[in-house]
This record gives sequence, structure tokens and C-alpha cells, in this order.
Amino acid sequence: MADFKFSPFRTTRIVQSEIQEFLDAVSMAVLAYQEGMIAYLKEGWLVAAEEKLQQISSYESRGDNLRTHIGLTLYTEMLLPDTAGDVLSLLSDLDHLLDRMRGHFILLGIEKPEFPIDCNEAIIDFISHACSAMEHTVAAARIYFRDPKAVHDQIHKIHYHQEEAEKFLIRLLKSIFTGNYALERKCHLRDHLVHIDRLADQADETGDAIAIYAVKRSI
Amino acid sequence: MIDLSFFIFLSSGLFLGWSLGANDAANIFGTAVTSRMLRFRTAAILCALFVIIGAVISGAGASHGLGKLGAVNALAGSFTVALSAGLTVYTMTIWGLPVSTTQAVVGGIIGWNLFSDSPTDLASLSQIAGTWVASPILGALFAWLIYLGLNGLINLTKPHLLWLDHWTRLGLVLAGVFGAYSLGANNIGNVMGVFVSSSPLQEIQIGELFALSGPQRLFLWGGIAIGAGVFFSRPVMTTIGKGIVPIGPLGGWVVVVSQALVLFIFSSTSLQQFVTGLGLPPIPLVPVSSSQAVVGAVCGIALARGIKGLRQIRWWELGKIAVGWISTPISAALICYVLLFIVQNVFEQQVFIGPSGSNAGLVP
Repeated sequence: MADFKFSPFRTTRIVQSEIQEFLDAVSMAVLAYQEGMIAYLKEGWLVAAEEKLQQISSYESRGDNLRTHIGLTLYTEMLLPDTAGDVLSLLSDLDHLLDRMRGHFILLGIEKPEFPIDCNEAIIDFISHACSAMEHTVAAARIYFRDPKAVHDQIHKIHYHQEEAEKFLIRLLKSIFTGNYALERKCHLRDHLVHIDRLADQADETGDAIAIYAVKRSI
Repeated sequence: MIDLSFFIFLSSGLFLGWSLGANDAANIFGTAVTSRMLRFRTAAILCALFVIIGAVISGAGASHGLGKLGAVNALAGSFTVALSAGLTVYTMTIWGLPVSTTQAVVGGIIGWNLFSDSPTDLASLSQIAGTWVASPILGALFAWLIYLGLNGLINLTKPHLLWLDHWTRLGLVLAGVFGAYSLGANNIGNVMGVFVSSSPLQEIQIGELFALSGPQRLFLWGGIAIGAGVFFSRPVMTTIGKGIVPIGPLGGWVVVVSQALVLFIFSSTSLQQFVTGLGLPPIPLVPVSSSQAVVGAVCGIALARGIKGLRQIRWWELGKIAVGWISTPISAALICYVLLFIVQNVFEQQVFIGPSGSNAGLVP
């Protein structure tokens, strides 16, 4: 005979821990992406970068599964539909960040762009700002679930890092396009830098969305 | 065996109950249904069930309070009073004027008093009119207090969104049930109050322990009529969320609880006894307008939100309600007077029993 235990709060507890796990996955993927990019810039596509790709892929895959399960549970068993819509959009935006990070890292492993060594420091700063924007977005998402009024404290940090990342992008593009490189290399490098910048932009857009969801949560 | 003519006369009250259910149930379960946390069918079943329970168990207080204004003592008279109230509500709704069933019924009773040359108890009238003003103010006060308390509690405990949502869903159902009970207890006076003095229904025993008094049997019929009306409230329910000030599910919960408290206060005999026991003046037990309590509660939330909320209030709508306090009873009284004349002289029905008894109120 099946062991039946009645627990009206069980689903809520499970979904709460799944959301927590999903946000952890995004946060760790951001760290892995940053370390992987730095490893690639310093050593090229070696074991360290390959390991980071595996890590990012596993986080992305876990994130996908969690998001699907959370979405199904939210819509079928709990949450007022309006709130469920906001939560799912938020998780979807963050999942998009995971996809973008993994997508770019796969391209990096395939195309292996040759970044000029004298640009390395600026590229590391550029990546650092893009990753900080993403980390603050994850932090804003965590705060949204507990204390929506405090979300604003993270939003301005996301804006700051996104703007800084954009400045670095422009500076790097100017430096590369005024340098003595072949046009195809310039375009190749530009594509990869734009990929990184898109991560910061996506983080910024997600931050703005979280700010709106937080306002909607006021009673 | 009850005469069939009793049900014919009761039909106007049952219709009034049906229309009350179709309109006022939206105030109770509107938020839960529009936010799609409860299916309309589930909400309607819960609402109908608890309206009936409230009417049968606690309907006597508010109904008795209305009776003090004028004891309509002939079935045809009760029929006419309820019909005139229904017509007033219908006409004023068609004309887009704010109207409350409570105020229309009071106007109808005054019309009957005038027609039957019965004295209108001015003390009761002023007490009832006072509750009309008090109910939206109390609604606002409760909503303001509950809103601030809830906001403070959420800021203090910072519950996870999922848990907050979980409790909101549960709270909306419980508040809806309480609201339905209070609506039944309070507003049954509007629907069946005018029939109490003229009703031929006697007490019946159901099983060994359970008995229904004559008025309770009447309230059961009225409750069933309101409950039936609830199942027709879907169109009103789906528009209730888009009201005076934008409010979320938690705000909706505050409104439902505040409205239910107002209705409960004006219908609970136990609370009245408790208050008088403290040496305070008794709370008048009379039917009040649930819609006006809701408007008050929504304004209370707007007030608690500060300047931003105040700007969102449509003050003109509140002014229109105040105008309705005067225009509705006067219109109902006039309509009732004319209808009583017609029922008495055209249909030759006894619309009141005079002090001498038997044949009074009929054309010789």
C-alpha cells in the first residue's frame, strides 16, 4: 500500500528550494564563466577552459530542468496566476543568461579567437563588469522573493556595471579597429566582445524587469 | 401546509434576494475569482452555502432592527414593500445612480408607514441612517488599520513570495467565507425583514435536536434566493477587481475582511451584548450596504498609501453615494406608496392590518 502523507506545505517548500537551487546554478555559472574566460585569455583553450565549459553546461542543463519543473508546479498547483507569470518570466530571463554564457563559451572553444595580449587586462575588466552585472541581477532576484522593496539597492549596481562594460567594449573595439590586424580578425574579435557585452545588457534588462515585478508585489 | 399565495407574495422578496446575491457576492469572492485562485463555481458554492448559514443562524438581529422602523403586518403589504425596493434598485441602476438595497427597503417601509398611517420611529430611522454613514467610514477605518498592520507584519517577517502567496490564497478563501456569512446574517434583513411580522411560517422540529423558528424558515428561503443569485454573479465578479483604486490580491483580502467585519458588527447580537456589557451604547443591528462598506474599505487602503493613494480616489463617486442616502429612500417611499394604493384598490389585497384588526387596509 502506498505510503500517503498529507502535507499542504510540502509543494511550497519544494518549489522554494528549487528556486533557490536555480538561482545558485545561475550564480555559479557566472563564476565559472568568468574564471573560464580569464583562463582562456591567459592560457588559451586548455584543460582549465574545457573544465569550465563542462561546468557551465551542467549548470545550464540543471537550470533548464529546474525551470521547467518550477513552471509546471507554479501554474498547476500554486501561486496566483499574475505572480506565477512574473516569477516564470524572471526565471526565464535568468535561464536566458545561462544559455548565452554557455553559447558564447562553446563558440569560444570552437573559434578560439586570438585576443591581442596588450588588450588582456582591459578584456578581463570588461568581463568582470559583465559578470558583476549578472551577479547583482541574481542577487536582485533573490531579494525579490523576500523583500521586494530592497530590490532597488541592487538595480543601480546592475546599471553601473552594465554602463562600465559598455565603456570597455567601446574602448576595446576602438583599440582593435585602430590596431594593425587583419579585418577578419578584427571582426572576429568584435563578435566575441559583443557577446560579452550582450550578457551585461541582458542582465540590465532582467534587472529592470525585476524592479517592475517588485513594484507589482506591493499590496 | 403553507398556502401557495404565501409564496406568490414572497416572490418579490425572493427576487430582491436573488438580485442581492447576483450583485453583492462579487464584493466577497470577486478578488479570489478575478485573480483566478478560485474557480467561479467553487466560489459560488462556498458563498451560497455560507450566506444561507449566516442568514439562518444570525439573521434575526439585523432583521429585528429593521422591524423597529415599521412592522409590515400584511403579506400583500410586505410583498409591495419588497417589490418597490426591487423596482427602485432596478430603476436607479438603469439610470446609473448609486443605489443600495438596504436604503431602498427602508424607503419602502417608510412608504408603508405613511400609507397605513403607522408612526415611523424617528429614533430608529436616525439610528439606521447613522449606520449608512458609519458603514463606509468603519470600512475605511478597518481597512486602514488592517492594511497598515499587514504591511508592518510583512516588512517585519519578510516572508518568501511563495509562502506569502500561499497564505494569501488561504486568506482569500477564509475571508470570503466570513464575508458570505456576514452578508447572509446582515442583508437577510433587507430580503426577508419586511415579511417577518406577516409570515405564517411556524417553528418546525428537524430530528431530535434541531429546530427552525418561523423567522429562521423565512430566512432559509431568503438565503436560498441570495445563494441562487450568487450563481449569476459572474459578470459582476469579473469586473470588481478593476474598481476605484488598483489593489492586488492582498489588498483584496483587506477589503473583504473589512467589509465582512462591518456587516458582522451590524448583525451580531453576541457582540451587541458584549458591548452593552461594557457599559457602552448598544450597536444598532440593522442591514447595511455591503457595496458601500467595500467602497469605504478601498478608500481606507488608498488613505494608508498616503498622498499617492489619496490622489487615486475618485471623490465624486463618494459624493454620489452620499446623495444616494437621501434619494434612494425617498424614491422607494414614493414608489411604495403608489404601489400600495394600486395593490389595495386595484387588486383588492389587504396591505396592512389596522389597530382594530381584521378588515383594515381594504377598500370597503
